Amino acid sequence: MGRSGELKNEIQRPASFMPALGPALGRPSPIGQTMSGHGGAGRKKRDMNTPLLLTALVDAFSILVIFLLVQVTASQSPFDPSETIKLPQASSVDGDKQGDQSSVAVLNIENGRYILDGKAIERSMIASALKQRKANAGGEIRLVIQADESTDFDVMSPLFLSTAEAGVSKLEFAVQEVERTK
Amino acid sequence: MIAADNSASGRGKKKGMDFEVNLIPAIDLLSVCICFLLLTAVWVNLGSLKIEQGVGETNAQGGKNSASLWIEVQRTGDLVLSTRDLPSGARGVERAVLTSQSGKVDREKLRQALRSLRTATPTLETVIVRPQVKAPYGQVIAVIDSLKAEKVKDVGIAPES
Repeated sequence: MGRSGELKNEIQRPASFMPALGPALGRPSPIGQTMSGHGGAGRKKRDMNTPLLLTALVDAFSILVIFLLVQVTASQSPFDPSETIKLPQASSVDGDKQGDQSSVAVLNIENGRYILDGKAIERSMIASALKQRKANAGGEIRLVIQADESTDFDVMSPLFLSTAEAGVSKLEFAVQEVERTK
Repeated sequence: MIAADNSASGRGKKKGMDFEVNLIPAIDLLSVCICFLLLTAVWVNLGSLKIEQGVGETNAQGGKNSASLWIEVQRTGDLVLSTRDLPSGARGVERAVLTSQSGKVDREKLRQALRSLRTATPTLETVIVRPQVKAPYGQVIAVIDSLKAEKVKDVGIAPES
């Protein structure tokens, strides 16, 4: 074979080494067969198939699912503000979001109404309800207060008297955590 | 390749030992899982600011109060700072006004005032926030957040009655 023959082989080699979907999975691809079968005219066509590595895709998806599941599990908290409440933003939040759920009472303030643990309650009844809640928990309870950032403080002021009357000293203000800006 | 070797071994036609796991349903299932988790995920990170409220007898023994800073939060977002029970000789403030910045608490001014006061009086670890009746709750939280950021140990609230 002369020099021209060697050159021809070198030019043709990449086409013959091009991997196709069929060989990658261990059997010829029907798409590949169809394409080569209809080539006609005796001309060798360039194979348009590329291998699709599904195993890597499944791996990536699995990692994503595990990550999202862990995140969803870790983000369980007693705070569940309604859609109407826009919590104030803060950066220096305290840790221990989980804690003992049985000793947490959640008080929402929506449009001047007080909602303790999902039930609407009169302002005058807050102290007695907290006392009852404390007795049920068998000790100290934490009161989580959720209110809109635009709420006037006069709506909240009576709350402090009620908590003092009920002997609840641990108060928490639910906030939306944001990055600290320098 | 293994199947080819088996068939070539000469003991008749054997069942192929290699098989392909159909990955398409697995990908479908995982895609649905990802979509579901992405839609149901809570993207707003919630936290809480803790405060301890005094309950019961207030200093019945008549003991000496510790040095404290009282911050009055006004409706406009202005802050009025006053110190109480400072050690003798310590330099405090009496109704020093920190004006707001476009209706919001000026955190930077508060931080600077707090730092200078704590430099002058290192025992100043108690801060009482005193919101006015019409002060927005968000501004009160902004003050408490600034105090927490400055590592103030005891933060309390004494609302106007």
